[in-house]
Amino acid sequence: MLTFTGVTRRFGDVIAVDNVSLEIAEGEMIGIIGRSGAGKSTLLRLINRLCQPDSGDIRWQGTSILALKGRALRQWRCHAAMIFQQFNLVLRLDVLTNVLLGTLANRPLLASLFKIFPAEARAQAVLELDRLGMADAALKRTQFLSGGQQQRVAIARAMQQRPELLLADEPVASLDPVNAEIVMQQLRDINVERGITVIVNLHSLEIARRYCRRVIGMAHGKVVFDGPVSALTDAVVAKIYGSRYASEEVGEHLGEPAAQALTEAVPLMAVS
Amino acid sequence: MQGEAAILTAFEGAWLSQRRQVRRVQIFTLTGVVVVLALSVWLSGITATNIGDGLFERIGHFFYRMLPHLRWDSLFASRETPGSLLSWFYALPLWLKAIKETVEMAFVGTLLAGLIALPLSFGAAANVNRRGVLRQVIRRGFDTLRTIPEIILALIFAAAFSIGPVAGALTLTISSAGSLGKLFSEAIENGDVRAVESVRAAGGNWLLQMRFGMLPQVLPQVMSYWLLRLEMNVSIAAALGVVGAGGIGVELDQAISFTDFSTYLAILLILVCIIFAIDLVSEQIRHRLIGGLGKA
Amino acid sequence: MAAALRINPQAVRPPLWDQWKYWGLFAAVLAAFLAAVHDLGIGYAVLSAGVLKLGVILEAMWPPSDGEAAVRIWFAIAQTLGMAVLGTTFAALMAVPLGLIAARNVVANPALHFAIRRIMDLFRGIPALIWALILVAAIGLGPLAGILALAFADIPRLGKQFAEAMENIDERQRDSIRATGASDAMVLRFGVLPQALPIWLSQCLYSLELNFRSAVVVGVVGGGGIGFELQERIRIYAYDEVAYIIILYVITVSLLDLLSARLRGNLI
Repeated sequence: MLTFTGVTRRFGDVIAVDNVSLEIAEGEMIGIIGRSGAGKSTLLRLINRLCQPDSGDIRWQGTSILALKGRALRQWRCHAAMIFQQFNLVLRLDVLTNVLLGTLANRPLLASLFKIFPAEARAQAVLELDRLGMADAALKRTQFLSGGQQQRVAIARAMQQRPELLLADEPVASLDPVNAEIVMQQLRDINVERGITVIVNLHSLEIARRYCRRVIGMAHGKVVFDGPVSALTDAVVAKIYGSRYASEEVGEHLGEPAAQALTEAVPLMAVS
Repeated sequence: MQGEAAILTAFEGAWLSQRRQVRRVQIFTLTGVVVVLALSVWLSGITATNIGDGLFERIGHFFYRMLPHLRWDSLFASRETPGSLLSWFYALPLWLKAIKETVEMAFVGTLLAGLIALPLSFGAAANVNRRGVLRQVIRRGFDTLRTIPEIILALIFAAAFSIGPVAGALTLTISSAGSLGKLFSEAIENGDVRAVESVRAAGGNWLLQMRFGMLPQVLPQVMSYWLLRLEMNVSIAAALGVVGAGGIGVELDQAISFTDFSTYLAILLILVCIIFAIDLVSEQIRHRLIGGLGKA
Repeated sequence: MAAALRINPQAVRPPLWDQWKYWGLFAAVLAAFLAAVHDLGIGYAVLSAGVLKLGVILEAMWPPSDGEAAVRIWFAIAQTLGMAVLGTTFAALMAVPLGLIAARNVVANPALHFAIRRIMDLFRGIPALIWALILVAAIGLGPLAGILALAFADIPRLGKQFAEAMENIDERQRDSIRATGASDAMVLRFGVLPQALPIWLSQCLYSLELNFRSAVVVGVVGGGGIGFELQERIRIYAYDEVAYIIILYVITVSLLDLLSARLRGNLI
């Protein structure tokens, strides 16, 4: 169980996360939606402590993660794996080494510095890549891969970390629709088959609806909606995105007339 | 009619005033340059020397005296035979040994300098080191080391470590560390921090973040700068020998004082050839690196 | 493990060659380094004795003192600066024609271009100090030898920079002037120079920075200026004065670099 209690984070005058309180149970698959600048990214980065809250508490299974330091903090980051919109892989290294970076938190420093990874770790990495269909590319240099392929390598690295949580910060925003589907499918499989709690930031309402069971809507740093996808009414969507943008945001994938119809039909949609 | 004339006069006026402005700037710059040149001439005392008396004739004559007296028929004869190549390069083994010493000085100095500069340069880069004070200290340190002229460092080191290649190698180490440090840190600052962040998110400490997130990106550039410095340092090492830091510079200094000027040319040719060869090899390696062969 | 080996054995167990390739390179460099160190005579005894002496010298440098000759030192700095300016000016004047003939878009013949570039590379390796030795022997001690030495050492480098600037100009501007039927000289004046000139001036300013440093070096061999003053004081172990001069020099260099960077920014 991941709990947020009154968490606030400011950047200068801007309140990125405003007194947020949440509870996320293990095994959930959650989509966080909202406009750019609503605080989604900051919220996610607070979980793995890439960002520190100004006030409030964040707990995982009862223990506060804010007090963690040094080795314990790095272990936590290993347990709360993150993937990024720009993939953030080390382009000049090969795919396998990028995946093996997931083991850094648990290996001795000197061995890692010299890129000495045991055969077991390499085998595990190959298996993770295989589950994503990337095993053949293991020794290719990462910069030669397409966007969708790179994101899958990033997922493989996240899995190499044997995480309990998977944090995905706009993982498909830089991908074409086909690859976006592939990646979202992978995230769902990870949630269903491995029982890992998945929290995804999404800018596409449609994807959130299709893949997540629970949706958190953010606007101006506050949580304005928290519930099942079925409860995403037109009014709620307007609150999250601002009324002018309600159908526009949805319309990006579907086109205007379909978007209108969808927005009107929202109360009738069920989650698969 | 009336309107047209008015527009024309207005335009003429604007154009003329702009030209006047440009002229003003030009005259100002020109005056500035002339003043600087005049000051330089006066300060440097160049007028004290007798330029007039056929300066270039004298230089030309000097270069002529540097030419050896080779003869076609005995070109490849033994060392004792006048007119042979071997008699021109009469102390070739000694000079080859000296140039080897110079190259070794440059190699040792550059290698050590890079090893010192690389870790410190991460501290001097604004995008990976947030601690402003530490960063400034390291940066100032680099700047100071690269500014102090090598020859002065060489003189001081020669006083401490006695004349010889040890002083020379140390001089190159200290001086190059400053220059390389600045170049390395610039390369790091041009690097993408996103990969660093992903290593941090996976649970790596600062050292691992640098090793895997930043180093692979900057390594080709770093190696390139390192090799370029090696090229320069061979040249500098030769020069330092003149003040006693060992190597071929010592031979050059002695040659010009005590021997035939053709000997000087011989030694100079060896130096130039070695530098040329090293530059060629280094350029090849550098092209390969930028082309993407880096290991990381 | 077995499953992984079946999928991609090379990834799980990389062949020995891959692993040892970089260790081999590392070992070779290390071996060369140790051989060089041994050959140069860098040993623990030499280093420890030297470090002690260095400590004594550094101690003697504090506090720095002007040795009652502050004016003379300032004058020497100005003199060195003057040498650098004249040396750069002369180098620039000589480098212009050199840069033009070394530019691929001015001299089309590839063989000639290659030859000229190689000759320039050859001369680039001769540092100012070596030139200074030659020139002092040829025309005697004094600032003239120093200035010419600075110039001769800089001409190959600056010439190459000029040539590269020429080669990097936008050809289309040149062609459009040529298309108006203008003479070659006019094409040069209006189609090429406006592009190349700011870059050339910028490179000259950078040259000035380099030459100010080289001027010190040259001064040691008899060119006068700061180099001479420093060498004199090192000879008589007046390290506190040496420190004073070095500090002054470092400040001057920083100012010069700042000024040069500012001017270069305005040019480009």
